[in-house]
Amino acid sequence: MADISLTNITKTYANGVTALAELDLHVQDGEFLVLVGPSGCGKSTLLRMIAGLEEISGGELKIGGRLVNQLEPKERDIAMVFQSYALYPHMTVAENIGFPLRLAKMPAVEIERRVADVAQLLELTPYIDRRPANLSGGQRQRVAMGRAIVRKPSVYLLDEPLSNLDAKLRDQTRSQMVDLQARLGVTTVYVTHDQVEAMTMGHRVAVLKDGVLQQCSTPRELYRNPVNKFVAGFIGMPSMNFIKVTASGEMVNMGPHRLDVPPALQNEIVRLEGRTFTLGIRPEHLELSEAGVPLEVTGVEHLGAETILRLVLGDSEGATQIVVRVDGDKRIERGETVRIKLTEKLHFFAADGVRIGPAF
Amino acid sequence: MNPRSKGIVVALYGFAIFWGGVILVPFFWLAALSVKTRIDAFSVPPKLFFEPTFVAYSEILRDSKFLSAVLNSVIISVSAVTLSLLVAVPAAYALRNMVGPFRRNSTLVLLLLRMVPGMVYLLPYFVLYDRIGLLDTHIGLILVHLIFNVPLIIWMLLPIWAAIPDDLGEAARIDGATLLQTLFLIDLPLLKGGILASSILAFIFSWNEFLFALILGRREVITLPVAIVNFLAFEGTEWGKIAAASMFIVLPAIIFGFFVRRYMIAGMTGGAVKG
Ligand SMILES: Nc1ncnc2c1ncn2[C@@H]1O[C@H](COP(=O)(O)OP(=O)(O)OP(=O)(O)O)[C@@H](O)[C@H]1O
Ligand SMILES: [Mg+2]
Repeated sequence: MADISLTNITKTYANGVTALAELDLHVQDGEFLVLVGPSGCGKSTLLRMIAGLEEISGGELKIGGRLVNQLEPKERDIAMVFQSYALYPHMTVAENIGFPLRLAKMPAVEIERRVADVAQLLELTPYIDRRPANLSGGQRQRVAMGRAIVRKPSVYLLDEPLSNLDAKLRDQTRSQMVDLQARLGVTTVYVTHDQVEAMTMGHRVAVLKDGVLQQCSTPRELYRNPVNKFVAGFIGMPSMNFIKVTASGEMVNMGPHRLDVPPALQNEIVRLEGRTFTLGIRPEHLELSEAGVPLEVTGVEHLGAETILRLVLGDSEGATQIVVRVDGDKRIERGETVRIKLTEKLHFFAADGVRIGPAF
Repeated sequence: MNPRSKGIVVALYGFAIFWGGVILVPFFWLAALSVKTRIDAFSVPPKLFFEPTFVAYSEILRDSKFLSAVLNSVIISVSAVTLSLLVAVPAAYALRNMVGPFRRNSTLVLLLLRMVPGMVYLLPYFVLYDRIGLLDTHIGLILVHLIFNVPLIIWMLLPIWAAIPDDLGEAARIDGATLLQTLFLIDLPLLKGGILASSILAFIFSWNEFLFALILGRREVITLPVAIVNFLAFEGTEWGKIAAASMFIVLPAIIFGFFVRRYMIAGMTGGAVKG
C-alpha cells in the first residue's frame, strides 16, 4: 500500500512539446483517483511518468514516501493496464497472468496457485489455456487486469482500460472494477476521457487541460462547485449552458431577454451591477414555468425517462443555444414555445473563466 | 467473377506456366542429364524416355573431392548463418528501438549495402586476408559471408519487428523484465517465423556463394559451387557427374523454398492489441 505524491511535475518531450506543467497532486493510500480531460491533455503522459515509462523532466515523484524519479518501473512496485491491453500474443491466458511472477522467480507451484486464484476472481478459469487471439474484448480486458493484480503491487495504473469495450460491457465492467478496487484497497490512478467513468468510479477526480491540473475534488464537489468554466463544461451530460449576461438591478440581461434571478442570489447580482459575466446553468437546473421567458424549441430528443430540449436564447444580434433537461412525461414538440425560469443553482464565471460568486 | 476478369486470370495463368517452363527447362534438362548414361546424354534428338541410371550419383558420392566440398559448404553456410544471426538480431533490436534520423533511413542503407556487388569487396579482402593469413581458411570465408547475410537478415526482420506494438515491450518492462528478458521472452518468440525465414534465405545465399569462395578459398577450402567448376575444368566430359553435383546445390533451395514462404507470413502478433 502506498500514496503517490507529485510535486511540481513537468514533462517536456524531445520535440519541445510541454505535455505537463508544474503539476501538484497527492493520491492517498487506497484511493481511486480518476484522471480525466480531453484528448491530448497529458493524461497518458502523467500515468506513464508515474509508471516509469516516461522520463520526468522536472519535479518530484514519490510513491509510498520514496522518491522514485530515477527508478525503473519494476522497482516502483506498480502495475499498469494498457488501453491496448498489451497481452503477449504467444502466451496463454495463464502464462500472461503469471508472467510478472515468473520474472520475479517465484516457484512454479506458487505461480500456478496465484494465477488460478486471479483467474477465479476474474472469471477467466475456463479460458486459462487460450491465446489472447481467441478471446473476446471483455475477456482480454480481464486478462490485462489479472496480470496487473496477480503481483499484489501497491499501485495500479490504468490507461483507458474500458475504451475498447462496447457500451453495455463497459457499464458492467465499470462497477466490477470499482468493487475489485474497494476489495483489494490498492491505490489506483485511472485515466479516462469518459466523464461518466470519472464521476462514477473515482473517490476523487482530477481534471486536466493542456497539461495543467484544473481541479481535483470529489465527483460531487466537481459537479457542484467547478472552479472554472472549463471544468464546469467538461463535467455533466449534457454540458452546462453558458450565457453571456450583464447584471442590471436584480436581474440579468441577455440581448432582448431580461432574466429573473431567484431571491437568494439577488445580492450577488447587485454586487456585479453593470458587469458582463458568464452565467453557467446545467440543463437540469432550468425549469419550465409560466412566469419564465418564452423561448422557441428548435430541437427535441426523447430519451425515455427524460427529454432534452434545445432552445434559442437571444435574437439576430447574438443568439445562444441552450439545452434544457425536462421530465420525459412532458409532451413538447419542435417549434413550440416554452417558458423557462432560472433556479437557484447558478454558476458565475468571470471573463477569464474563473468562478466568481457563491459556492453551494 | 465476370467473363472479362476470368479471361485475364486465364491469360495470367497461361503466361505463368509458359514462363515457368522457360525457367525450368534447363533445370529439368540438368536433372535428366544426371540420371542418363553417357551415351543417352548427348544423343540427337534428346531422348525423352530412357532407362534412368544413378551411376553419376554413386560416382560423386565416392569422390573424396566432392564429399569434402559438401562438407566445406555445410560448415561455411551453417556457421555463416549462425554468426550472421548473432550479429543481425541484436542489431535489428537496436535499430527497432532507435529514435532519430538514422532509423528512418536504416532500411535503405541496408538495402544499398546488400546491393553492392561482391567484386567491390573482393580485392580489399584478398589483400587483407593474404596479410593476416585468412586466405584459404573456413573462418575467412565465413566472415566474408557476413557482408551480405547480416544486412539481409536485418532488412527482413526490421519491418516484422516494427509491427510488434511498443506496448508489449513496455508491459514487459512493467512486469519486471530486463531488456534481455524482453528480447528473449517477448520479441524473439514473436519473431520466430521471420528469423527462420531470413536464416533460410541467408543459408541459401551462403550455399550458392561462388565468387568469394573461388578467390578466397582456392585450394584447401573448396565449396560445392567451386568444386563443380573444377569438375568442368579437370574432368573434361564427365557431364553426368557435373549434373549430379549440381543437383546437390539446388537441393536446399528446393527444400527450404517452400518453408520460407510459409514463415514469411508473420501472423503471430494477432490478439496482442485490441483486434
Ligand atoms: N512521445 C511523444 N513525443 C512528443 N510529444 C508527445 C509524445 N507523446 C505525447 N506527446 C504529446 O503530449 C501531449 C499529451 O499527450 P498524451 O498522450 O499524454 O495525451 P492524452 O491525454 O493521453 O490523450 P488521449 O486521451 O488522446 O489519450 C499531446 O500534445 C501529445 O501530442
Ligand atoms: Mg492517452
